[in-house]
Amino acid sequence: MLLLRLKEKFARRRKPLKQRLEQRRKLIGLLRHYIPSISILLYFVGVIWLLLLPYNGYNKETYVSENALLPAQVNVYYSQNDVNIANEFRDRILEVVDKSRESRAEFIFKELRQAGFHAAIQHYTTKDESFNEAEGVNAFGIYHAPRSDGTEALLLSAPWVSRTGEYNVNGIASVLSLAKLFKRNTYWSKDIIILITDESVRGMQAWLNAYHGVDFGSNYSSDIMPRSGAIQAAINMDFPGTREYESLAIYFEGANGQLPNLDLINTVITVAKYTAQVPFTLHDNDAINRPQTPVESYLASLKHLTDTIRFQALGHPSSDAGLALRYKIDAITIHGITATGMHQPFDFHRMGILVESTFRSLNNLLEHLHQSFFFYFLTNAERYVSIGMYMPPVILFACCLVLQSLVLWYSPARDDNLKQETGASLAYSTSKKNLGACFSVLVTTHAAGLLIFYIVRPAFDFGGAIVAPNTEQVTIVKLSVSCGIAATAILMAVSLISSKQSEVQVMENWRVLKSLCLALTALIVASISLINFSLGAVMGLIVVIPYSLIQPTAKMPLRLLQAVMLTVLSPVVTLYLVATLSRSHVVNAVTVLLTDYEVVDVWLLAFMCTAYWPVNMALYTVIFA
Amino acid sequence: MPWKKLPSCILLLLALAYPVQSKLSSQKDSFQEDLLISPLKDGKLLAHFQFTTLVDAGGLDEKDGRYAHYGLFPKSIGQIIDHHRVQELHLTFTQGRWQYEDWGYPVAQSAGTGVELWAWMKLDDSIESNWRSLTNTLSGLFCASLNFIDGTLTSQPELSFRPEGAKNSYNHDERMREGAEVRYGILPHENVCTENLTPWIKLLPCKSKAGIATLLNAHKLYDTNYHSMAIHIRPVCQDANCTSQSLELVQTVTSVLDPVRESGRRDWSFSSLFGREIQSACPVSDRSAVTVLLPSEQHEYQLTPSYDTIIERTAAQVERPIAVYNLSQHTEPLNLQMTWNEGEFSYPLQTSKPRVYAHKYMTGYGHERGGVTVNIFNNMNESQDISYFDSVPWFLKLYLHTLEVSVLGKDHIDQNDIVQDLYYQPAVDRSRPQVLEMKLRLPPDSVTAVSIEFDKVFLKYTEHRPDANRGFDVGPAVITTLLPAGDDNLASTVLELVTNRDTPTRQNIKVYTEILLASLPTPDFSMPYNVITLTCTVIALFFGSIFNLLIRGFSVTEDEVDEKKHENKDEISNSS
Amino acid sequence: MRLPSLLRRLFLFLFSLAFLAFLTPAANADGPKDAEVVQEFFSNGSGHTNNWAVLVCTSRFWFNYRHIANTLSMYRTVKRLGIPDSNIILMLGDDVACNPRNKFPATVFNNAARLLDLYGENVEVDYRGYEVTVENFIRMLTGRVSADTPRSKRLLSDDRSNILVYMTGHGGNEFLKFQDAEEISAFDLADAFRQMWEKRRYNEMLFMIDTCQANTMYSKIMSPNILATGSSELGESSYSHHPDWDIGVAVIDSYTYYNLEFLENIDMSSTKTLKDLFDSYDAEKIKSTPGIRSDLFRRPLDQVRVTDFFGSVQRVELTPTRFITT
Repeated sequence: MLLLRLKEKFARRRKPLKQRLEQRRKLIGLLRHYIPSISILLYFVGVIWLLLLPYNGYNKETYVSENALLPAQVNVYYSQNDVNIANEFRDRILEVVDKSRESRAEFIFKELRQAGFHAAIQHYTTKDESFNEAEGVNAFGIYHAPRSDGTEALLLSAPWVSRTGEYNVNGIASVLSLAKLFKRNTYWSKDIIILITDESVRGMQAWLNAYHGVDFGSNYSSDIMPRSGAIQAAINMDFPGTREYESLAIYFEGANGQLPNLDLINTVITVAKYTAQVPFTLHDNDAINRPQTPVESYLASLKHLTDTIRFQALGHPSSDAGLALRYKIDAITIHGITATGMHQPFDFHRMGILVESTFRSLNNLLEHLHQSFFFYFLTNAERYVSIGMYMPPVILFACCLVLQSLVLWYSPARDDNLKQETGASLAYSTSKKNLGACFSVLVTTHAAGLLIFYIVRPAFDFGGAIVAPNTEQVTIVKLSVSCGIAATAILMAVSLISSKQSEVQVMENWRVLKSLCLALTALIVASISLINFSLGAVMGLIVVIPYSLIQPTAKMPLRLLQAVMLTVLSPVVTLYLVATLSRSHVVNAVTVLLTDYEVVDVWLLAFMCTAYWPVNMALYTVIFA
Repeated sequence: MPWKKLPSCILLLLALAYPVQSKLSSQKDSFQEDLLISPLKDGKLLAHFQFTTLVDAGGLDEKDGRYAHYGLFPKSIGQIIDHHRVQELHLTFTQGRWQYEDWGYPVAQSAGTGVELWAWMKLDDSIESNWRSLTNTLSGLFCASLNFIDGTLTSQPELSFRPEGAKNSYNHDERMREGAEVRYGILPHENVCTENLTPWIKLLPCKSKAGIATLLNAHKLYDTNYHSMAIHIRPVCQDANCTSQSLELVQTVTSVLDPVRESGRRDWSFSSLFGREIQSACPVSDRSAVTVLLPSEQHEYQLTPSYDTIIERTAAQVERPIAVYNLSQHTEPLNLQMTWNEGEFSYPLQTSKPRVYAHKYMTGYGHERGGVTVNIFNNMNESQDISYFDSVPWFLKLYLHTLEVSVLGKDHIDQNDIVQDLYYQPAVDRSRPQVLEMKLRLPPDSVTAVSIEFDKVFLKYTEHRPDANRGFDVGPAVITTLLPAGDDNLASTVLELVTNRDTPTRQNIKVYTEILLASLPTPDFSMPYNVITLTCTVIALFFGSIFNLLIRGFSVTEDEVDEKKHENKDEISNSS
Repeated sequence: MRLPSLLRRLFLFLFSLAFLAFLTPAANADGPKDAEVVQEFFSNGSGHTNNWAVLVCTSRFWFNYRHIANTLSMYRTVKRLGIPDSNIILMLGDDVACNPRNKFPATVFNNAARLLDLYGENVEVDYRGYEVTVENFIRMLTGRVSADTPRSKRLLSDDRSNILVYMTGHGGNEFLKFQDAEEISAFDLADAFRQMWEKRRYNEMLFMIDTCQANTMYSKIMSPNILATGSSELGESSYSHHPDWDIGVAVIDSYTYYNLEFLENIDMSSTKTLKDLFDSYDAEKIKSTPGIRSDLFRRPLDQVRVTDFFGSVQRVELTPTRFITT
């Protein structure tokens, strides 16, 4: 009784149905009208947010979270004696550096054995630049810490060739002198592994794979090589040539955008600041000249940010150390920037102190590094942006696309017709949507994408049908084939969507297709940003506006313009542009991409072929519908 | 009057005392102490201390306890094994890892890092509670957390850990073998320190006041490359027919010292190694000797003071002289010193490897799954039969179908030719571990790889240890085999020779692999409730709305004006 | 009326007994008085006949070296002043002496000068590593341990025991962290002490705690005969005293350091009182405000000897002749 009375009371308060419907129609009309503009606005808010990140107000100073580390709180023992030993090693290395890789590895093996390490040589099989099978050889030694149980280890590595292209003579000499220093002491709780890798990326990856039993059965030498426990952290030393250095550069990005725990970088920075007292920076930026004005400071921070984004978006590890991150080994590379003579240089002594003190701090750890961040951006060596600050822009991009998608899904095609009939504007589109055609378009483009991926992979060589003398020609052939497949797919799709249907239905179809494409793009951007934020952000930045503007028109020039826009966004042309910006050939860019895929297991190639390109292809269909 | 009865009371007491005294005099115990020093191939030095106490056991079925009186044999140990009905006990505390490739085989075979306890106990209804009680009592006695060896860490090996030694009563008495069961447990992460050494020394008759045990200086011992301290208790036969038996308590300390670390030279002396000298022999010992295994070439070294006896190169398979010092004949403190006629020591580039050894490592990466592979090396020209034992904790779920036994580089050898026998005990969550035991026939000159895969369990939030992000320790795999005397087990052959104990032609060798660290997925301990709340809020707010939006269908409704018309019509019709 | 002769004799016998009983109260009254004298002699006013010490370090990890050093310093002090290992329960959350990170193996120092090795040759650690948990601690205090627990891990105190409970680690407002994974609150502690009082497991107790905001930890205790002292007030942190640059960690906490400065001058014959100890606290040097709670303690602090809690001093009096009881 009471309930009925309440219902009546509220029913009387409610406006009549017609009025409510009218209000709803107006609201939806407003939304339909303004949402596209709002979403574009959201996009620009996201862009501005990203640009604001380098400002000091939006990022914080770094600090060491793990109490166990105690960086720079212990005496160091790397003395002049050790510097002399390093100098001696340098002379011996210079004699051996031009010889074959077998003799170089033998040399390292002998030196490590003389130092008392449990030394070994690892032969491995890998793919060379032409993606044929090739051999390589690493040399390494393990110091079994006397009083420890050997379940954990620390890795100190150095490649034979530095990132500048010269031989890493100082780096290897320093590593060997540190090996002797470490052997003298018994306060190690973890084993120490000294590794000198051949051919940088390939050698390091082969050693890590063999150590973790990944490629079991492929190479006898790798299968029986001596091992220690689980590696907790790694420092890679890259100090080219035989000269002195003026600052320390830190490279930390890993494969697929993975980053080491921030505490490792903080520890090295703290030690560099207080114990070793050397200037430090990220990547190869200027460490000595501090920015004076706020504008300079902002630009410097922005440069750091874009450097990291570039490495992460391409999934390309910035140094050898980045390869170790997927094995739950926190690793960074320290690189010496050559002294220009204008500032106080440093050499073996301070390099040695830095690494010794860092290892002493890492030795204090009882657990894996877990207290500090795994997701961050560094605007300079001592300031970071946390994920809570930098994640929203990408979500805004995704929201922008999702809102537009929803509007397209619910907007009617026959708007004007109905208004004339009934005198009321239509709120929702009630006509049946032809999802079959749209899905078949998407299926076609994705199938084409898979086929392209299958062909472009280095393992595919056309069944031996085409025998090209070098990889360059093979790459060009593969690229052309992919473009051909893409074009075919587009033509098929266009025919699918416009065949045997009335004009009205075609008009409906393009809305549905565009809605699906935008939703799919939003899904890809948002999901990828969880795994690799930079890739998601870059993709969002470049595709949101163009994809939103795609519309079918009758005018030919506009159609052409849109087609050109989409072509520019397609992977092949993007790759060409990236290559030109980095001042290299597109074939080199593709080779790097393929090497990453084959050797380092970077999934950017798969992503571009199977997720990014199909959507791009499907949107061509919208133009020509 | 009471005082008249006194003399008879005294006489009675004296009469009773006699049998007791005679029992005292008939129960013999003996004590022997030995120190063996042997230089190793990579410049290090093996120092092996062995203290043997023997006591007559009489019959082993006595109900009131075997030993009513304790002389040299420590009372605490006697009471423990009586009360818990233990027949053979081996408890080892090890710090560091034994490097088989550089050092050969150790004298004391148990070389697994951590604390290892295995015992043969009388099989009756209370064996489980006896085992539990035994671990607790030993934890109190030795100040170690042995009480953590509960059901989840205890296993019963079928093929390995058989009673040791030819003189062992087990090998003569069928009844003993049937009436007993073995229990094995290991704590790989247990640390060894002075508080474990102190009670161990207190079990010796002379403690650390006299004899060879005075060299046991904790500050030096715990700075070594390997340190292992053990007690071994087993029943032994006194004669060939085993009519009389004794209980043997052997206490060993094995330590690998590194004189090269300090000075770069291999020279050593008791004061440089241990910081002390041997003042005198233990007065109650039957035999107190220091044995030094000398290098083959006499010009390479100098040993002072000179030895009491020397056993030349005639001894079985030992091609080097053995110097023996009898401490009971020395009146002055003994500070042995050896200097090598060389400059700085240079490590040999290639060394001869032992005949059978193994390495274990974890494969794979990530927190979901992984694998374990053991490489077993056979450096002999002939096949060798071995027993393989591995106990894996329950939180690494092994998949038996992924077990692969292959010979590296020789794909033609079939798995069935290598695996002769297989025992597998699956795990029960939180109750017992997995046990994998195999009898393998290793092909000559080969590396056999045994690999198996596992899934990592996501533990309950409260089951993680305080240092959860470190991971959990997995014990070593044990490989047991019989080998004749050779270059790699010189130390044990020499010691057997010198002490005239068991001198078997083939010795039981146990090879222990490394221990591993399994990194299990850890939750974010600081945020369980926050995460649950956030997830539920998101799902409640957004899932419903989006689902609604996508699935909502539309239907035509009647206009309100029409409704009222119908209502009015009804009212009129009702009122009329 | 005349009584029969038997009755007369009986009456006479009883009368003489009563007369004798009356005459000998002086002699018989020495019985209860003897007991009092004996009690007085052995207790010196405190009423305790034996001493126990429960020393707990709740921290794990290498950087908490100083907490282990704190506890071991107290261990050395109570051993030096007479409490035997069988009466000390030592709980160390981690092993730092034989920790591979320790540059000086098998040693623990509480001073950067490294003159005194706290570990020595003869140390007995009863609970170590993962065994140091809140549950084990409370079970040990209240005596509710499992039947398998060995004797060295049990607190076998009685109603004549004086117990020193010393705890150190990381703490906060009314809680103390055990190994960074669980906590014991001030209420749990007060409850455990109350159980101990009800089971008559102590005569008097001195509760000493060195953590951040330590004084809050004893605020909830309500059992009698407990004297408590802590290193810092609510909102204050306790600081370490100094680091050792070779070992790479701080080696002792301020509060414990200054306590030891006083206790190192005590030997078994010392008559210094707890009032002297508490007067020696200087908040400026310690860098935090130590607190003392004596409202539950029945004796005035200037009559309580330091050795009543920190040592096990058996009172011995040499008499010229054999002591004869009356």
